[in-house]
Amino acid sequence: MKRDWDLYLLLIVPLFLTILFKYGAYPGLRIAFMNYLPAKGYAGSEWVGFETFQKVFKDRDFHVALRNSLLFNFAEVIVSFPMPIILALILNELKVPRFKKVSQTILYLPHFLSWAIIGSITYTLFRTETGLVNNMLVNFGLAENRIPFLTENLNWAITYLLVGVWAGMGWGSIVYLAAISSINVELYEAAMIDGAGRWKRMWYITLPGIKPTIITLLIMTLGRLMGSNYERLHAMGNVNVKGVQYQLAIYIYEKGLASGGFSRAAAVGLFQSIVGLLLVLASDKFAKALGEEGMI
Amino acid sequence: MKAKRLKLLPLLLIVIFSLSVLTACNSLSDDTGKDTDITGKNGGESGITLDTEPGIEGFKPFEKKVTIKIPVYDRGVEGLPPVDDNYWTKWIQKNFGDKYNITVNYEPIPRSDVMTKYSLLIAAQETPTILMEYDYPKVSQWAAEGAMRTIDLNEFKHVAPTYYNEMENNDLLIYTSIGGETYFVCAVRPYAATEYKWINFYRMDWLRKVGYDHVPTNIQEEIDALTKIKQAGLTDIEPMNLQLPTANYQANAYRDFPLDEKEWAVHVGIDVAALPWEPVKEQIRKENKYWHLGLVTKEFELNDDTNARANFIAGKLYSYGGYMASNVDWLDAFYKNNPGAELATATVLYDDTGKITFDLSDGLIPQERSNTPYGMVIGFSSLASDDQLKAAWMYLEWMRQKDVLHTLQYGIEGIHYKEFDELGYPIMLDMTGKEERLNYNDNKDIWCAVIESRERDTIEDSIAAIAPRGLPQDFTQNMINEFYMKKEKVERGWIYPDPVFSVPIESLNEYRATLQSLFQEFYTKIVKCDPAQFDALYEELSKQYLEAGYQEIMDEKLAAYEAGNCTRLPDKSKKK
Repeated sequence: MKRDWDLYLLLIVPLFLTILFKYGAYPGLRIAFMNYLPAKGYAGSEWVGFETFQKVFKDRDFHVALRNSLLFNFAEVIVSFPMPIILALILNELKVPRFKKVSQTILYLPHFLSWAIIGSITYTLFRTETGLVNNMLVNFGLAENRIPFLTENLNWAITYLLVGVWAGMGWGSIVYLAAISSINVELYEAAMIDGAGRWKRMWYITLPGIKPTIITLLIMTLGRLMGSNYERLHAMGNVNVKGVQYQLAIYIYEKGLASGGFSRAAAVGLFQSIVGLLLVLASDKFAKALGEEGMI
Repeated sequence: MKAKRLKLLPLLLIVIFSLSVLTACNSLSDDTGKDTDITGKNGGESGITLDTEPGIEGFKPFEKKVTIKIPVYDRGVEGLPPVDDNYWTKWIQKNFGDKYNITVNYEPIPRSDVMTKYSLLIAAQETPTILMEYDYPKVSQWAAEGAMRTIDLNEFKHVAPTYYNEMENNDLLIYTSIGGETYFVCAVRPYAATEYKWINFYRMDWLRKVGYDHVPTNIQEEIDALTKIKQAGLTDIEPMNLQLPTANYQANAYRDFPLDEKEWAVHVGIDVAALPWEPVKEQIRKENKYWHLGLVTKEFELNDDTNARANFIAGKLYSYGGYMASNVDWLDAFYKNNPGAELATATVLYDDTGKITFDLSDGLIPQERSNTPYGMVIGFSSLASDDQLKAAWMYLEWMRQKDVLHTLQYGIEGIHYKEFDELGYPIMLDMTGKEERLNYNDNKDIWCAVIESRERDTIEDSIAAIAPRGLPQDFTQNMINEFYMKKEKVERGWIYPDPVFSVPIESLNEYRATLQSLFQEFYTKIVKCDPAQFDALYEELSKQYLEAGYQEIMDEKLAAYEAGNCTRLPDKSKKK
């Protein structure tokens, strides 16, 4: 402690911020059990027990939002989760350093764009009547009819997921690249001497080397199965696809914040967190049962 | 040595962090004014000292600095200074705030998301000193939820007699109470029933090319003209703009006239669209027909006003409308982009005796919604101290003074105008790009706290004040003609106000956002559906809409109406 006092001192800042903004907000969760009126505050608002939860669970819109959130998050796990791993493996195999760096920079860039900008780009590209992609497909005779990328449920869902992959895979690959860089180089050298080609080295050295990282990130991703991103849904959504776009974040905004229903928003948020926690615990246990380290 | 220096770095960072946290905490307590005395709030009669002369003559500087926060709409208009920090906010601080030891802060309220912004401000205990909105159910919701303090109108009259007298002279005192408690004061809205500031423009040059010498006056003519415009290739997009509706979806012309008062009380309003109501169905049927004829925007659900304006400026749209002011940027841009183009406003018809008449060949009575008799409805934060309340009243009274209002509406002689027109009103200089320029719509979002439009001695003068200048065409007379057409409608009872409830409609507050989103979704489906499926689909979606909350709203409004807690229709408009 005496030797590393400066490091402990530095730890104070994140610790303080975490306590303040994460744990400090916990007492506020009581509004889920109140008929909370902001102007009356905690003291002036009435306690209603589980009434808000009962209302939420009986609400048909909540069921739709829950179903869509789960469906899309499962789809994200299947479609989006492996992409950064694949990308990291490919980047790791690039041998021209300058090309590798340029590729990495280009791939990271979408992460820094807000969803508002990504949504705007998506609409400019994929609108049915005036979108660039449809114009090209029709003008070059590649499609007879225009494709409603953004105005039909299935097409929208695919576009939504792929745009998510595009925006996130570059940034997501950083953790895996870091994990790859910590693999002992001698293992590769030994494998090469034994005649292992690129695929074999990737399969038998790189992938097992980053397996703990993959499992940790998978557990964290599973913990977010109940989550949803309002900014992304809002930027990408439109009324034609409300059947699939209507997820928990939209529900919370529409029935919570926009209608002044803070108790309802808090109740749904609490429900999401509890289910998320249970999922993390379950997947951690599952990982341990498979002989992996887990994260807790 | 280097290592030692590095070791000191964390210490330095901690000190900087701690200082910034402390500074932030300090600035919070300064801004809110929460440390001031709040006795008397929510008790009707407050602790405001009234030992001075009534009105502005009795204004004295506060002994201790008082901070008030005034909401101001942020309309996201490009190229203008921030709404909360500009030449005019500084001018008010200098000429009002500094004089009475008051700090006047402004809180930007996004125009398209008023409720969310207020909700967040109220939740964060950052409620502005005054809360104001045009929409009565919104302010009544804030009052019902305890975000506003009750006020004593006698005290208000003492501090702000000019403002009070204006309310009294315009019969606005009946709107100051809700649920038996007095919460509000109201800005005046001159010519409420004959709103003359919004004007729709039509491409007269296109109409001439397809054989019309006037803007169509009935649906048949409109369909014919639009079809011919399309066929003539005058535009490469659908000639008429369509976009997603808001909750303020009026189907005035399709209402039976005279109206059943109960139906009017239950369905009419701007807070929630009355999807299951027959007139709304018939208006959407018309839009379904136009859409299938290819006369309106095909992908309207992805369209917005910015697109529409851009298309009009680019010379691709037949029609576009907006509020008028001496300088309307999109009209300027339109004429620059379309030299030689001719615009027209709606046709006003006259009979042989020169009296205004109407084309009723559609079998529809051209009814309209009267604007509310009040402009902004203003309440006061329940967090406001007596001093803050008094300062807010002083702000309203000061702004209501003729010279102040004139300056806010026209600017300062020598800076914003140098000459006067033949009627003696300022001829505004072009201030584009200058720091001193008036904010959007001639500073309207500031002076709307006291009045809704620039008022002059006659309606002709008032219209002249907001008729756009410097264009190849002058629309002043067209606007005057449209005003008299509306006046004629008022006389016939065809223009009437929405119902105003004197009790909060709680279900409206609960379901408003959900129904708004549902209405847009259903509207899109219905407009695009096969006309043969229209009725069946409409019935099915109306049922869902009723179940999603509209039925509850209807029931609550009906109960309030039957209990006498609702304004009544004018006799001329009411079915006997």
